[in-house]
Amino acid sequence: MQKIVSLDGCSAGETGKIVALATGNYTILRKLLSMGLVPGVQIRVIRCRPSIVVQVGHSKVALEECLAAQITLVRIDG
Amino acid sequence: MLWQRGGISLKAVVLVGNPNVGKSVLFYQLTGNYATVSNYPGTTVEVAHGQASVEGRQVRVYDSPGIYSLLPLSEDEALTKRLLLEKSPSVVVHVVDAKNLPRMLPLTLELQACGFPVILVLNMMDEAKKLGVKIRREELSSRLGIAVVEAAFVHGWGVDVLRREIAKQLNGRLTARPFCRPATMPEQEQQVFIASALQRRRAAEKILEGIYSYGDLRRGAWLDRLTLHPVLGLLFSIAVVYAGFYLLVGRLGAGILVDLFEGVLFAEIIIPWLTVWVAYLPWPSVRELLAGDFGILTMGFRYAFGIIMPMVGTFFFAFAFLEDSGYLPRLAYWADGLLRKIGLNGRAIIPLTLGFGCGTMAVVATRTLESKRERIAATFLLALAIPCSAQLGLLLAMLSATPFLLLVWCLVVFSVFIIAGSLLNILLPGKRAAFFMELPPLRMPKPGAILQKTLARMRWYFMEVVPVFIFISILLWLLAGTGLLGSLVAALVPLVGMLGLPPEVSLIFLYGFFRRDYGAAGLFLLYRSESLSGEQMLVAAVALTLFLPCLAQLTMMVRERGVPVAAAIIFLVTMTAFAAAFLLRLALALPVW
Repeated sequence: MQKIVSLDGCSAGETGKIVALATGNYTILRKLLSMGLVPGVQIRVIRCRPSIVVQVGHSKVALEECLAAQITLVRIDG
Repeated sequence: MLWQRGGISLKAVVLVGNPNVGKSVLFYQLTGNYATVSNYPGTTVEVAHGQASVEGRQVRVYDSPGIYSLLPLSEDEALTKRLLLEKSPSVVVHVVDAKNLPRMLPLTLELQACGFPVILVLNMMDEAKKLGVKIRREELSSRLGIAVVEAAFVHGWGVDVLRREIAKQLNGRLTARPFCRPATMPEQEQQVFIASALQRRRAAEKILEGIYSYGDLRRGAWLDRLTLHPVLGLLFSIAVVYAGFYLLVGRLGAGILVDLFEGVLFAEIIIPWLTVWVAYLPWPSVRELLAGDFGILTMGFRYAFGIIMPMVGTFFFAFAFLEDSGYLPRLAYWADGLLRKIGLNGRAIIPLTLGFGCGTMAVVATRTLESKRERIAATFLLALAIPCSAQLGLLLAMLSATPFLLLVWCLVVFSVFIIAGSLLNILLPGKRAAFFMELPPLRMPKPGAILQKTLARMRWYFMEVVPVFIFISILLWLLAGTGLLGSLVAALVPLVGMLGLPPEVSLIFLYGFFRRDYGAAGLFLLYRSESLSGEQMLVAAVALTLFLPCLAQLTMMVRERGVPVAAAIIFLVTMTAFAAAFLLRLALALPVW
């Protein structure tokens, strides 16, 4: 089953594929791009507090809820 | 051959790549120990450069600050671009973390598109192999049309192969004439940039199709998991700060080493020896200048080398260790929770922590913060409530004899920090930048690299500090000689009196303006002579901690923030320091105690 969620609503251990970056702020967009957070990429949520930590490939990125809210994922089960 | 005035100009090799991919390790392996670390002209960003020999030819190697793309987001990144454009490198060595090739390959494509002669280095192959990452190097090389070298520089693997490839490049091609986009772009161009960045990312994925596999994504070291654990991770970060700053800097640096350098070396050997020799000089004022109360040798050098050096040295060592271990971003992650409340973000932990070492350096480091608002807030808090290592060490030495005093001092300074930060958050216009940071894997740092960093920073520190100390000694000598010092001190006496402190303290406050640690050192001597009560010492310690930053930090504040902002900060800091100390004095006088 596929479900579209925003990254700040995910909990630790979940995996998903990025489908959209919903921000109009170019600086934020470029930062996300530089970390490899681009549509089509699969990420895994590692921690939700104090900020969200996701694993992209073999690297980890910490980001605050308000940034995570801009990232839309399709949740992948299992 | 290129000839220039003054001899042969060496061909340039520039190392580029994301932060934390091992550029510096490669740099030191190529150049040996003959590196010069200097600020790039017109900036305060450090760039290391040195000569290396490749197959019998000398080249000049530059280690550039980490970048994510050629369109810079920060001053450091802008510098890398300048370096690439101005040095017209014969070879650009793009170092990537092999594990994260899909993310980093777009930069290779960008460099190639700009016309740079690129060699791609897949570093950290050892870690990648352990995780099951598979890369077909020859295929990658032929798809990209450039040399691709596998390496693990921490073990020295791949350096020789890289040297051969650099030599091949030097013999083969002419220096390319690169072109680049301008640093600032109108909005439409931003869109174009983002579109082309996405395109490069797609292109990179296509190139890697069938020749790269991620391997096991779930494996992580236990330490990696521990440092991010909701409870243990926070405890670990506290333990790191305690061990790194309190034990190493406070106890070892400010305690044992200061006793050794100041107490034994200076007080028992150098000063008595100097006094004997200076006594032969026929001019009394010169004798005063060299070895009097404010003498260049007896005060300036003694403070700089006997008291400050051990503390700053141990601090820089601890900081370099944290930096090289990759732990700092995780510390920022944990600090974000607290700093968010005062309108800063986790990133600010780096200048703030650095402030516990040297405030002057920390003010420079506020550049890593994204918005002007955060830079002003951090500069203010650094000036107000962050004692530098020299000051901290001495205050700890004085106050830790009575744990209660130490506790009250910590509470007062911390409350001032939080209250001032919260007020600034309300008063300063704008919004804080959201926290966003890569958390690099933790690694055991190389002792050699840490020592090198520590020594380079200490050298920088002494270049900045020793002249200031000499200047202050001369100034105080002049003021004392003309009697002006007496009147200045006398003018401060009523204020000091309002804080319930003896008149001697006003001289110390005056020192404190010249250098924070100078003031603390003066207070320390007063403490040793047992002429202050516990409460008085506490009030004096609080006032001195919050009081004006040292002359060097002040200069840097003016340089970084401009005169109006710096003046406003100074005014507020002075008022706050006096008010806090006065309130503390009143509170201590309450009959409840």
